Amino acid sequence: MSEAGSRVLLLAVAALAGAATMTVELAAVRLLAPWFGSSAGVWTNVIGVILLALALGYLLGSRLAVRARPTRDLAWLLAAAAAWNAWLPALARPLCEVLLPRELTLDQSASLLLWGSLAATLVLFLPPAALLGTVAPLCTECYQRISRTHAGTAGGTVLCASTLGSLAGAFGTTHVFAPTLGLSWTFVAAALVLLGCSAIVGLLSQSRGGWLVAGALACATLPATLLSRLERSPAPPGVEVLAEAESRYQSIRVVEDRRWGEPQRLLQVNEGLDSFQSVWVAHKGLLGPGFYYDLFVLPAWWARAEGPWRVAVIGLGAGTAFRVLEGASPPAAELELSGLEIDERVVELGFEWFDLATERGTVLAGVDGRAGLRGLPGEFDLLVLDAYQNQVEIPAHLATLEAFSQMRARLAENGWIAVNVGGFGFDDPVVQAVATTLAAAFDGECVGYLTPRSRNIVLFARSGARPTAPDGDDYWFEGAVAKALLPSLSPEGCWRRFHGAAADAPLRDDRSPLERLQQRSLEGARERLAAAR
Amino acid sequence: MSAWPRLASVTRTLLGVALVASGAAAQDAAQDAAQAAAVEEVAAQFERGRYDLALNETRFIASPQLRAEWRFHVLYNAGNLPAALDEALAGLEVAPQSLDLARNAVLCALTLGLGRVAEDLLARWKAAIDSSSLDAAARESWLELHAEQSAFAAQVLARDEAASDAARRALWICVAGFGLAFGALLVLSRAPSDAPRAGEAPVA
Repeated sequence: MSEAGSRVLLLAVAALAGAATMTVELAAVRLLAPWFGSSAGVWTNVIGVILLALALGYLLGSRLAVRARPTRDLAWLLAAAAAWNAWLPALARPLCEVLLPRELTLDQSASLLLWGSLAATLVLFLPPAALLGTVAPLCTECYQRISRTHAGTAGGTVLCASTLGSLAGAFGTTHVFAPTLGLSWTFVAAALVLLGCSAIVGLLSQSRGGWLVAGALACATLPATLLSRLERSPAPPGVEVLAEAESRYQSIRVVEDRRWGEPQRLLQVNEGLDSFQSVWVAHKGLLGPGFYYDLFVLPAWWARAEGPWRVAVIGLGAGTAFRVLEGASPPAAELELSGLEIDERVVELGFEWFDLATERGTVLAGVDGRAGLRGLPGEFDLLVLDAYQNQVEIPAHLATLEAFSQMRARLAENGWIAVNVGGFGFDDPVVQAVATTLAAAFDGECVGYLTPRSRNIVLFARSGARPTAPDGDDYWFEGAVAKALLPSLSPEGCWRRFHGAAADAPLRDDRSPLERLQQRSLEGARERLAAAR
Repeated sequence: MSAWPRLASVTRTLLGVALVASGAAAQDAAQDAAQAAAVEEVAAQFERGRYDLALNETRFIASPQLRAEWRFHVLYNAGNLPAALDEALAGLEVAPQSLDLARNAVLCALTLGLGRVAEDLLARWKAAIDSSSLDAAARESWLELHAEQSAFAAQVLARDEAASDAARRALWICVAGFGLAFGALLVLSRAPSDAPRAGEAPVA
């Protein structure tokens, strides 16, 4: 092969290996997400381990580069990386279930989410990333030997190709491969690409030994195309999986649970634990104790709403809030429902399985809640913030003083905001931080209600008026909704008034330690409950 | 001291005791009536759905055990399980023999996933059953319920144990993984490097 041709092939190998490295890194988080979520902590673990692996790979590559036949070493290293990559989907579940046993609740799993994900990342992703890390120094060496150029020239050229490949890998994995191929095939496709690279380098090497090793590893890789699949934990008896999907953001599945009487459909996102993002039952209206969605109907009753009642839900999910509002709002209220959901696939599944309908209103899918709010016309009588990411986290940018102020600006006079916060009681650090920040944005006051038999708290604030609380005259009203909701919320200890003045440092766009608070909330949950005894 | 004054003293004492007893009986009757009224008020407010007032009215129930039972009842129905558990535990402090409170505390602790707390409460519940003056059928029924909850507690404890084991495993894997990786870095960085290429000019 000509010198120019060899150089091009080497650069192509460097680029494809760079793309595969990014695929491993980005898909790694998604592969772990069904068990450990995809919080900032999990991302940090994955990025940290990949960086360590690359450092190791670079050093190993630099040592192998001085040997007589670097192309031969490169061929088998690429084939080994391909084999490891190909089997990752099949290895994920057995390992993750050892590190995070089934049937644990969220608070039982608090420390496991971080340590477990770090351990899983080390076992699953350090070896292939280290193998891929050897590619750049070996390619540089080969390039320099072929072109007889300077080390800096060779290194710079190879790094340029590798980085451009990484760029393509990053965009391709998130926007194309994972949503269209699914995770298993994304890993297998990356493995096949690396195997192709190994073959190219083997051609350049013309070494029988290199071919033999690479061939053996190819034999280990190819069966993975048939056998290596990511399997989520099987549904327990009485629970049927209706649909599964990979979106740009997360793994999603719809299950129907028939274990407790009336069938319930649940939309689970990256869940290995005991939570869900949306719920459907056959009837519209209140869902019953344990479901915070029911509390979203209260402002319309407290406001004695008649005529148009305009509601926007930020974090619509599959539309549970819509169905509850439609079935349990005051009869005189004419609902106009709008919703924002960042994940289009969730909305598609909502239309398919959750009877999500938009007869009077707008659903904007594929847009972030804060940015998308600008796209919804008019003012609202009620804004519902029910946005969650990574299983347990409120997106930090949606719970800042600036975000709440922006939401307040979209409310009609005396309009309401309802914010769903997950936490372990009113003293939970996340609940405290979000509530006092909300209060600071809404004339200094908000009221939090503990959802019965749940770890959710719904915060209410009003624009230009005090939010309703059980100690006020306007709390009680008549009817079935009142009977179902008001008694449980009214006792001392089941609600709390929060004051904005208590916010030493409200959450700001510039500084929002929400993720740290959320981790502290989880870690503290069990200790706090046990200590209280 | 002569016998008379001693007799007089005894008589006074007996008279005093009788007066106190009759006063105490009257006071007890009044207290019972007040307590019954307070309980009736709590129950009425609870039935009306005014859990806030019901909880407030429990302040007027004199018996700590009865107060704790009612506060538990209101808070449990309001769905505030941690607070309900606190009430049941407070009630057990003053009335460790209360089977209802012990059962309620166990149910709450198990629902909240507090295996160790439930284990301790199960032991107290069992002791309360053993020391009670129940008839055989009632005792059997309580023991059955206790056995059911014990089995449930064993599951919760097994989950706790599994979580602890998994945490230990994860920690060891992390230590081993990082140890190997940094060890490899150290070994590779100390490996002898090759001689400079012939014919290349020095950098500076």
